[in-house]
Parts: sequence; structure tokens; C-alpha cells
Amino acid sequence: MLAMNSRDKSNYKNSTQLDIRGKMCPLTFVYTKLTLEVLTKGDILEVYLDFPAALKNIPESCKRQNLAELLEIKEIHSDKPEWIMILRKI
Amino acid sequence: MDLTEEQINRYSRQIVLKEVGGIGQKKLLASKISLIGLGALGSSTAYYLAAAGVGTLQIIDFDTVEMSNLHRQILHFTKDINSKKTTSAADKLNSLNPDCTIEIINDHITPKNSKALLKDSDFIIEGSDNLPTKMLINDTCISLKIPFTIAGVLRFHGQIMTVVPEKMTSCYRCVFGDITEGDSSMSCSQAGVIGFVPGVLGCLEANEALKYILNIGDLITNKIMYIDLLRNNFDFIEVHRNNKCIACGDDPKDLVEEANYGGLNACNE
Ligand SMILES: [Zn+2]
Repeated sequence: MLAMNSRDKSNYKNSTQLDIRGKMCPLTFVYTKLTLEVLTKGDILEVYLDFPAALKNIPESCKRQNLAELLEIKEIHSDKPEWIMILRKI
Repeated sequence: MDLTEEQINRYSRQIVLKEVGGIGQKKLLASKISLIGLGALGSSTAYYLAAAGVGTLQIIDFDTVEMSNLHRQILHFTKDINSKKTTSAADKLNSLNPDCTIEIINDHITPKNSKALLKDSDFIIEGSDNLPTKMLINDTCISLKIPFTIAGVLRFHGQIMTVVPEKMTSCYRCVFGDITEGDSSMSCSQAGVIGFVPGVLGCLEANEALKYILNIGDLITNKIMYIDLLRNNFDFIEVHRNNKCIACGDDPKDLVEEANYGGLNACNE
């Protein structure tokens, strides 16, 4: 389990960040989708989120709509339910 | 143009759709749709298009609200009796969705004004209650090369067809020919109509406009969809472009200038 500081940017170069902490489904996916729409193929999107169901829903919807693939999900804090979801636009 | 937080929330359930997304929503917000007739068909069409976030809706009607309209014309309320249908409709649509600009044309549509009124529309929806107007809209849209949908209702049944002039799909005249004399036996006031039928067909007309603007799915072109809500029949009748059609055939006439649309030529007084 990798604990990281939220200011500690990941190892992905030239990534785009989207902070949707505080948002619930389906708005979590809506904001992710709107951001992915303006990226180009291969771009990395880092989504900061705290709504647990979105960990499953966002990658599933992204896959179904052929928007992005899930690379990984990291915990931001070990003591707080906040995550960074790394997606690659397809 | 970026969507605001409020817009993202308002349209979230359609932005979620693969076929719409933020890109589609912005296309809707940038589009202009014209609607002829604010009766029963127009009520449901206008309501759903405004709700969906069409940027500009031009609504055209000359009529005033009557008591006998209210069982089916769902944009108009009891308090609106004797008000202009355009004013009554704009009142509801503005409060439903401030994103949608409502342009009011309080007039008859006639061969004299039809091209000027409709020329900057992305899509046109015909929802009048008479055949001469349907023919005039058909001819005007073919002349302007703007796609349109026409619906009609009677009793428990109704029909709808869409025409895309650029793609040379069958037009209303290809099917119904040169009928321009209004047949009074065919009007709702004589024959009656149940409100749900234009409700359903108005939704179908709105759906045609949305699919065209977003370039998704299949339009009801080269076919007529016929519905009978008493017997639960939903049928498609295939139709074909007639190359001798006076409106869209190989040797078309500018009918808006030449045709006789029953009483329409005279009724803009
Ligand atoms: Zn034709």
C-alpha cells in the first residue's frame, strides 16, 4: 500500500489533475468524462476522489464508453478515504 | 464555451450518455430549432427541447389559448386562457430552463414570410394542425435545404416523418402529393383527439431534432412511423423519393413562390 502526500505528484509526466473530492456518482463520472473529452489519446488523467463507489463506477463507465483505461488507484492518505485514480485516455 | 457547474449538474443525466457527453451538450446549446405550432404537438416538443438545453428555440404561432385546448396542450394552463400561445409557452419555457433563449413569432407562417423566418434554423419542427401549413413547411425547408420533421395526429393515431433535403430523402409531397386544400373533416376539432397521442408524437419530433443535431442514431427518413394508441400498433411504412415530385424531384419548382396553399396565402392579415 502506497501512502502519498496529496501534493506529492505521481510519477506520470505531463498528467492532468482533476479534483472531484466531495462529489458523488454520477457526477464523479460526468466530471471525469468532461475532462477526458478534451484530452488526446495517450494522455494521463489523475482523478482525486473520495466517493468509494466511484472507484468501481468510473473505470467501468470509462471502459464501456471507450474513453479511458484504468492504470492504477492509489491511496492519498493511509488514514482517510481519499484516492488518486490514474486513467489513460484511449 | 465551457459548461458551468450548474449546467453540468442540470444536464448530467444526458452528459453521462455515450451519445451525448459534454461535446454533444455544447452542440445542443449552440443550436437553433424552429417550431411551428404551439398546440399539443408543439407543447411536448418545446418542453423537452428546452429542458434538454437547446440554445435557441424559435416558436411560431398566432393563436390564443382556449379552454378546449387544455386537455392536450400541456404548455398552457387554465390561467392562460385568452393569452397568446407564444407568450404562454415562453413563460413556461423560460422558467423551465434559462439556458434556452425563446424567440417569439406571433404570426401566421405564410409563403411570404416562411423563408425569412426559418432560414437560420438548424432543424425545423412542424407541429401545426393543418395540411396547407405542413406542405408550406415541406416546400420551404426543401428550398432552404434545412432538415425537418412533420407529425400529425387524429383520434388515437398519428404519424411522423423526417426529411433531410441534403440527403435527398423522401419528402412529405413525395408521399402525399399535391394536396393543398384543407380538408375540414381531418381536423382535431371535428374528429377529436386524445391528448396522449400528440404528447408521444411531440416527444418523437423532439427526439428527431436531437438525433440530427448530435448526428447520432437513425432518423425516421424514407419511412413514416404510424402509431395507433388504441390498438397499440407502432408501424413503419417505407416510402421512397419520387423523382417526379414537384417539391424535391429532379425538376423541382420553387413552390413557396408558386403553389397555392389553400387559405394560407391570404391569412396573414
Ligand atoms: Zn418530394
